[in-house]
Amino acid sequence: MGKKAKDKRDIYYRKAKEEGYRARSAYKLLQIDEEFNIFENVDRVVDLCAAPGSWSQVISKRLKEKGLDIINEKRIISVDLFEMAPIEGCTIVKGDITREKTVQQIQEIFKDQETQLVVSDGAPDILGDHDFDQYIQHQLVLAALNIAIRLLQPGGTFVAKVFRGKDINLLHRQIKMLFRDVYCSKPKCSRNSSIEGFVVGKFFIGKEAIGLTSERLNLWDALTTINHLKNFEKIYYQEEEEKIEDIIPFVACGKNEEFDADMNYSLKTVVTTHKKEDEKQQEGQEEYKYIEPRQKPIDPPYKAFLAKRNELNNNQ
Amino acid sequence: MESTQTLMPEFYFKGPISALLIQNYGTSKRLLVGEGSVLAVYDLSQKIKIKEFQMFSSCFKILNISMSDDAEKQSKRIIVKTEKSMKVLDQDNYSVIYDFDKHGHDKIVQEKLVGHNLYIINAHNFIEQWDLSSMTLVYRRFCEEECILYSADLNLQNNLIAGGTVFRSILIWENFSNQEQQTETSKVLYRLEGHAGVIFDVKFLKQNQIASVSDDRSLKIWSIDLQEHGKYHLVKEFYGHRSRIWRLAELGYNDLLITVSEDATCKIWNQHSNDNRAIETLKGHQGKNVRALSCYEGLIATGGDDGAVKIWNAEEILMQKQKNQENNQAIIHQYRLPMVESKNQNMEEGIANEEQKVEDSVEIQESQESDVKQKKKKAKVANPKDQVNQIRAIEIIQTIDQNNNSIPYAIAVTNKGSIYGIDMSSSDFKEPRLLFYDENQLNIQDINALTIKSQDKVINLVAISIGDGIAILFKVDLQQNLVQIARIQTCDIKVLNVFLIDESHTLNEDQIGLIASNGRAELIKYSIKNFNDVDIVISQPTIYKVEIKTQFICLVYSSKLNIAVAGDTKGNLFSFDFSQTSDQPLLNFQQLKAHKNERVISLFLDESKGQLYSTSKDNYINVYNFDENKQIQKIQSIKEEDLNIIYNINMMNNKMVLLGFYGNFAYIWNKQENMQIFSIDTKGGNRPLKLKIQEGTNIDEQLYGKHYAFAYSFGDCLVLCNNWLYSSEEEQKVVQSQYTIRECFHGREILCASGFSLKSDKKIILTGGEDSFLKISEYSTNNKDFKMTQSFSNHVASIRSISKAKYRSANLDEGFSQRTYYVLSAGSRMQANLFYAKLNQDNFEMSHLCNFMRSSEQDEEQDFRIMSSAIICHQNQGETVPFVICAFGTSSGELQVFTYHHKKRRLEDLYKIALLSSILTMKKVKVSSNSYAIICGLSNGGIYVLTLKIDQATSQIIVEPSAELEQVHDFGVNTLDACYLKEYNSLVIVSGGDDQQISLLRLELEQSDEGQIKITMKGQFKQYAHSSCIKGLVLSKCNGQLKVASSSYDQRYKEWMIDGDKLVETKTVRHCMSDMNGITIIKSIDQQSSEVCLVGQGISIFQMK
Ligand SMILES: C[S@@+](CC[C@H](N)C(=O)[O-])C[C@H]1O[C@@H](n2cnc3c(N)ncnc32)[C@H](O)[C@@H]1O
Repeated sequence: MGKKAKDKRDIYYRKAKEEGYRARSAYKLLQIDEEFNIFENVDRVVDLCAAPGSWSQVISKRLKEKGLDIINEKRIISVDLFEMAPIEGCTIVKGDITREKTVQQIQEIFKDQETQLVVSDGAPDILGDHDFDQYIQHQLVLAALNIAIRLLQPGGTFVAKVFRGKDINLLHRQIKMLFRDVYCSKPKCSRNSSIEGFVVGKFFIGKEAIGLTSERLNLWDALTTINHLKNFEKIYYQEEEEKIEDIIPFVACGKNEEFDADMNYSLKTVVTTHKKEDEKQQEGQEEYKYIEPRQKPIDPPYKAFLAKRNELNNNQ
Repeated sequence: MESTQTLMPEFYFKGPISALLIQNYGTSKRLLVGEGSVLAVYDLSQKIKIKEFQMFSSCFKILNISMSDDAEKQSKRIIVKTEKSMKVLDQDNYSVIYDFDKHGHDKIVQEKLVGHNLYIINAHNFIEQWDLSSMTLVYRRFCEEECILYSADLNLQNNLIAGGTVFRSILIWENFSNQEQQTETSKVLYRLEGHAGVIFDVKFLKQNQIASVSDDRSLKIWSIDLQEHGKYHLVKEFYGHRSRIWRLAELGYNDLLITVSEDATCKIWNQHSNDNRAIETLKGHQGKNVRALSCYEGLIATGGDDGAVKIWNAEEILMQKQKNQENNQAIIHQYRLPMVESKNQNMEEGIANEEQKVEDSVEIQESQESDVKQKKKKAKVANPKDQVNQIRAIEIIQTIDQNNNSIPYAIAVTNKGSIYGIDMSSSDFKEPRLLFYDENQLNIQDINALTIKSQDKVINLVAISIGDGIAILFKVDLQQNLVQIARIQTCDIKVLNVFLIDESHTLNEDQIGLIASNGRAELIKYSIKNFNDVDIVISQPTIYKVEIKTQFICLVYSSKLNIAVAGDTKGNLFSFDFSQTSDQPLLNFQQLKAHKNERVISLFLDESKGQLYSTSKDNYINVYNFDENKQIQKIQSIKEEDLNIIYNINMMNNKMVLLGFYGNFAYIWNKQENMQIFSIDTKGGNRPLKLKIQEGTNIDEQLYGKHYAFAYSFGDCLVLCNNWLYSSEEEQKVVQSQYTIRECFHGREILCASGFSLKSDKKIILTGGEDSFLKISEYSTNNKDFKMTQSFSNHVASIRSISKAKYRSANLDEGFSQRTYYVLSAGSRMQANLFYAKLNQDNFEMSHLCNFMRSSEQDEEQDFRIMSSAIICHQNQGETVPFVICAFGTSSGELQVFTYHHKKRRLEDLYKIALLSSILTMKKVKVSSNSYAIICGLSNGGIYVLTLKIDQATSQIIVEPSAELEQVHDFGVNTLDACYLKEYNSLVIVSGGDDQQISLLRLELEQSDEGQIKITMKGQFKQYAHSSCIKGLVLSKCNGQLKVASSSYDQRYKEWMIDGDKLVETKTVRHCMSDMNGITIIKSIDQQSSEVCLVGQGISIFQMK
């Protein structure tokens, strides 16, 4: 598929490029915010699995709009395994969120002050082994949950990407142990029939309420603790199937007039909304220009392989 | 503790093979196959299934099958593992010895059993030892590094654990040892860095070596220094797989390593080899992903996502390969054909012009080549003497000399108007001899030979195409001279292909046909009578052509079917039936989109097998056969990866032989064994044009060597050889050294299904998938026997929807009924196919009616596709043929309706409307004797209803939008089903969405005086049903009760009863199948029982409650 083809196919990809976001994912957070008002009473945020950083861009913008000083005070932490280009007001941590070291690093930056919002858009980059992808995704959410438990102020909010696959019921139940209201939301800019969804947990019940007091709480401990709150074995081993009433509510976010992620739009479609009407008309007539994406994709793991192959070809 | 209870499977499941084990069983070998939660046992010598067990509940997939590590052979046991639990089985009767369950919550990455000690390495990088006799945990030990493992291995001799992490490194740490009991965690002793992705498998080898495979497509071998912690080095690094490498195993023979990959191949590697390539690649699985692997003393078993299991005798294969290489000593002769001195110096300019013209019109060549040509052209201008005599085409014939010996004879034609012949009868071939020379040095484009055996004489005829539209016919005499018989001006432009065909239907009539194809997509056919005589008669030509603007590049003719097939510049194949003749140009043809908008470069027809092969610039090799109506059916599509451009394809001794390029080298490539037969460094220069292989059936083996001779040309260089490839006895062995234990089903995800039931307990299941195949399978309810019977390849991309409409049922005299249906498949690239199916007692037959493709190049780029479809078959009283109406819902939001024209065999426009969202799903319902509703589910959560009325009197079809229901779901409507309740005059629609809910609507229908159908909403409710998007939904009526069945990506199948305004769950099935895309329910003929068919990554069939 050529560059232009991707533009035609994915209207949000185009919109992101035109509006200066590093990835189309930005709209997911924007649409979730529209519905859940996640930035209400928030002055400190942790963005997990943040690269290339479009969520951090949104967060930075929102906190600034509130009039918070994000330059002199450390209010946003963006964590990812990979390097990220700097974003105003974001402290970037390069690390694995499943590791204790990373959690401690975050705690140090915030000097043990609590946050009101933890978001995670993490996804494994294996994709190919369904079962394992889902397992890793599940672990990433648990790791994010672990960080949320340790940093969130009671009443705080948690947003994480989930794969609505095999063990999704189990994961939902784990999150329900920790938050008063839990929703499964799907932004309009996500594609239909995808297993992707975002779990939104509102009103964190607080560390004490869960009974977590231990100083050192690594992921495995957190996991076993969460699991022991209820007898999860029963659920896992199918002795108990989730009741229909237990299904957490599904919330579609984003306005109805938003673009439909499944449709193919003509390149003439005007995607940026904040322009004036007459400007739009002009745009419509103009030739469409291809804009390079803000952030180039990270090197694939098979880069060396490609080089090797070319080498072989040339030596023949 | 001991229990011998092993269950019969409750489900029939055919899907990805997830685990395999070759078991040594007495004197024979057995193969254990894990497919979903079912363990099947096969006898390898008899190649039959012996037993089948339901190992776990259907929601757990078998992930690994291994042997315990006990030293004594007789005390070994079998371990069958799923994600978080495992069972230990007796190696003789497969009874369960230990059921290891509920140990915790982590995923087990690797397990090892010695006696009753079970070691398990968990994904969170810790090890546990369990005592199985008491089911107690002996110890648990964490590695100091917190991370997630994808793979691991335990070496009990050195007490080391190797963990392959999801982030590039391999961690080696020490298992529990008493001395260090105090410390809580183990230190990382070695950290092997070098992989660039997830470590999918890691294994300890002999001598402190470790092998690993990864996302980065490499196999690496490491060596650690046991004396000095932290010290290690990378010993070797291998490349070759084109995609992720999933698994690794030791062959148990010559230190060889085996890997399986996402690229659907298995490779054999020699650890000690000097280069970093695989020594052999085993191909045969379809689609994507081979994940299951087991090796035992030189035997390899592989299992793919295609559901196939294959056994390879690696030892045999390698030995055979070596033997072949030794045998493969072809004698090769290369010739440079001399330029014929031009008598007339003034001609030079003319020649240059001619050359120019030729070059301009030769579109057969790669565009990249044009650079080379451009350069050449310039050089030419500088010095016309440098012009080369380029070989345009070749042919090999068997001539008979004066002494009645048969002689293999090669003929080459050049762009400078000369024809050369070479006698290949002795091992040192003679020098080329000029047979023909055109004074004007006109370009000869093609040559074709025909041998006519009539009475006891053998006549060799040769036709060439020369200049602009001239065809010359020659006879070869006993001195191998060409004697001109006829010269025909076929048209005014260059003829790209000439073909001679035998038309001497009776023994005393000397008649042949000559076909010329040109760049206007015309086939011009002449009949030539009495060619052996002075009073030769040439008929008026019949012209076969297409209306489309295109060019024919290559041509083959089948004498059996009397059809010619041409390949064009846009990836199409056209077939013309020569039994039709006319003075007017004939426009009757079959068109098949064979390759994606790329020119078809070559065609080859294997008459004995009735198979056609095509190659294209898209680098796919397609295989076709012909159905009873002489229609071409694609049966296979193979992506060629060893060559970059395939110029020519041929079959030899049942082996596929290709001529093509890789880098600067031109290869003759044995595709079956994946090895080169001959290569030549073209130094970026000339490209090969033709490859011809002649089976030397008449050639005296004693005199002239082995069975074959072949020739191919590299521009100005002709290469001839004989005595190559091996004899057929040796061939047999190669075939025997591999076999298939389970046949392949779909190579990729299944997206849709439909079914029929026959009178016996037989069911017919149609499935369509991402692999673009439409497959027909038979399933027997009694013995759970599943068999694929037919495969249609009319689609070029994913099939997303299959729908059917009953035509009629008739009770035949013999007391059984026959039913007929129209079946419609539709999917990506805006393509659909219509079929006709006939069913009776226990027979199902389906034949192809027409292909529909509405995709322009632009559409393809934008990935427009048909997402959903419906078909209506309506018969008006008194009419002989029914109305067949097809509706398509596209990704771009268009709802298009067509009628099928029975005579023209094509779909014709009827109605079209643009909705604002993609149409994800569609159903048709009959609402009165002559009207139908088409209900569409949209990606914005809405439902749209279109009504269709067929006027009895006028036979007009009136199409009208009837209802538009907004926001039935909060997200896309993925699936829906509906029925019409006559007693309430209402339509019931159930739909399932991405919002995890099932909605139920009751709409009342009202027919106005003008015949319009008015729809009003009478009842509506919606309720949560699943924890993920709902992908399959079926509504059924049973004893007056409405029942709903649903399936979702949360891997659950549920059955519901409609109770007032509520759905009551009556059954839940958890199944390990991923991507559950849909459900189809097949009722038995007597309506007494129903079978549920779930499709996704595989197919699962079970009884409905
Ligand atoms: C879908 S991207 C996030 C996009 C981001 N929210 C944005 O808007 O630009 C997922 C990211 O998760 C990161 N990731 C995956 N596993 C991780 C882990 N264990 N620790 C930290 N980051 C991880 C990947 O590196 C990747 O950049």
